[in-house]
Amino acid sequence: MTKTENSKMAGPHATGMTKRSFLQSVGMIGGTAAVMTAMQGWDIGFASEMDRPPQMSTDGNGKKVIILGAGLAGMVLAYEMSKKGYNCKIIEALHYAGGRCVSARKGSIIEEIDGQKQVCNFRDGNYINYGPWRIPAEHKSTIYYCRTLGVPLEVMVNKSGKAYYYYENKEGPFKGQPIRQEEADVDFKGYTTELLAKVADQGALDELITQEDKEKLLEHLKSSGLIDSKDLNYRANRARGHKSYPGAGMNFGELSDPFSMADTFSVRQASRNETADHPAVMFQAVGGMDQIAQGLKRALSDESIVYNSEVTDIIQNENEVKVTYKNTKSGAVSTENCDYVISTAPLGVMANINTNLSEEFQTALKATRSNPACKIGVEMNRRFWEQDDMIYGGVTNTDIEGQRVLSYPSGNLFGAAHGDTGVILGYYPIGGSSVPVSNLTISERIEFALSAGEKIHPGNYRNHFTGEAMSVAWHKMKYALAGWENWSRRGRTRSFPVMQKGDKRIFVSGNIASPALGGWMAGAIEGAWSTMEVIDKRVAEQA
Amino acid sequence: MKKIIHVIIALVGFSALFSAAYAQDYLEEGEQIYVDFCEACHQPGGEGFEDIYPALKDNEFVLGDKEEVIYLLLEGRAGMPTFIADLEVDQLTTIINYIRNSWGNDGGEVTQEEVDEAYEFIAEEDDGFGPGN
Repeated sequence: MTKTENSKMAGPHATGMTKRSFLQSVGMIGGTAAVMTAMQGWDIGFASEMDRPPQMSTDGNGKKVIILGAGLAGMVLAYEMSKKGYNCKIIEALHYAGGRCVSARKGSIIEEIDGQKQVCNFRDGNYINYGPWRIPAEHKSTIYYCRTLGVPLEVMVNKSGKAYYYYENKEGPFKGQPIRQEEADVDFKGYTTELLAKVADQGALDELITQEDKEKLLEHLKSSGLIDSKDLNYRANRARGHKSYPGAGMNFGELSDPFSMADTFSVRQASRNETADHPAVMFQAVGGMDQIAQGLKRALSDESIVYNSEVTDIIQNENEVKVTYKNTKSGAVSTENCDYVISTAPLGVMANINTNLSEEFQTALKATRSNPACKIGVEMNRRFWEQDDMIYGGVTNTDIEGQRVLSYPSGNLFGAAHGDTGVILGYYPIGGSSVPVSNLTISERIEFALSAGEKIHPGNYRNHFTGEAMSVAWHKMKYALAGWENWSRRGRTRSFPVMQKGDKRIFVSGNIASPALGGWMAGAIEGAWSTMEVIDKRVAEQA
Repeated sequence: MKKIIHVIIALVGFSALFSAAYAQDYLEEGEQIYVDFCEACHQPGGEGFEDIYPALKDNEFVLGDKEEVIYLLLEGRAGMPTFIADLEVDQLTTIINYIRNSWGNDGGEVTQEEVDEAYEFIAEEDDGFGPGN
């Protein structure tokens, strides 16, 4: 029975059946397969291999695995492989677990390689996700761990029509002037609807589509409500909003005036707020994204992770791997032997470890690129974007060099959870454009964020800044050296397959093992899952 | 045939472009690009940062196969990001020449055509969304 067929059936609640009796009745008709399909519909049964960890066929039998890095990938590996009888130990260079899955809140410290150190002094409840910040529904792997480890998720508003587009580097009518996204978006849709309807109506599409399809198209375009059904002109209506709002009695308000067609076409719409992998509604961990990493950490035994330990050497022979690491506080050096090593250390960090990896494998690792990334959280003492601008979450897109986005917090909406304050993501440049920002001192970064924000929220942004901000340049964090890594086109074809199969007893995992998901938490998690499968196969062959 | 044309273009380009005037030009513009996009990691004077970010001065890779250096800037490699979306293709040529010929480096010149060719190859895979999330 397919899902579609299933959904057509009268639901169990409609007939007053209990869940069990319904399952029994389905089983009586369709056999076990039908029951399993029905259970999937309720999310209580089985699932595809994509949305949960792979089943390992081998039993670890106490085989010892040393994992480098207590980020999401490292902890997923330890968690899943321990369940299968592998004896896993994570060696972490920092004093905490989470890797790049972190949030800054009161007391958090960010220290970059040039010695610039910040201590967070946000008010209680406020935080900034200076690592990952949004989860799309299709990242089932990330959601799987949140659900099974009891990490509560909430809506992250990724698109708010009330947020702005702000462009200052392009000549045009809106240069240097914030405009509401919903106004520009609806106008764009309105005018393209008008143009398409007119060319269809005038017969210009007759060679491209059938008469029947043309009629359907025109019907849909008209039913959008954006164009007049007779003259086919775009007309402003409630979709675009009001310049004075309707109210009681005979107050019907006044509709806003559309921009001209030419002006509308001068506005570039945002590309990452309404797509399948960046939908309008995304998710975030309640209280900070680091809660996902902390959920994994709680699922591991206390002795699973050795902190403050920098791996210096990984040397393998036919029978084992010898790992040497140094305690960064005491300087004490330890050596341990194990059956396998899985490094989830960022490759820039791994490059400084002495190994006897084959030359082919080492060359493969070099075919990756690092993505620099910067973020800043700017704390405000009043939620002016909500109270004055009606913006509740969402992202303002700008072309200010080095800023790219300004995002409003989706947590503590209305100040309901912990008062009328909040932390704005003040900038988030990625790739090469983040490098100039990272070259600024901490106070220069704050000034940059304030001057950029003030252009979008004049009179409010500087005025309500509490004086507290936390910024990061991921490529200047000693044990990250990049926001994330991925593969060049040449690297993917030439080198990824070499990296993926590992080098005898040494494997490299994490987001680098998921070229299609670089920079996402799902990339770290599913990269770890794919490495489990490779090791499982290796162990099975050796058995 | 195409290859021969490229060679001819390269040869003509070499004599025309790499006059003293051009060298002066890329030194000046190159320095500004270096400060904005390279110095945060590779430090003033191309000195590098500890064991983390390599010195570009007297660097074997920088002074080696120029095609590899072009691809390094365009698509990243071994910890280096790509700058393909952040710099114009002529700026990329400028910064490559600047790095290969500054601080005592004597790497010789790369031509705009050489960079263009690699750029076209890489741009083919652009999905319109660019990197990141």
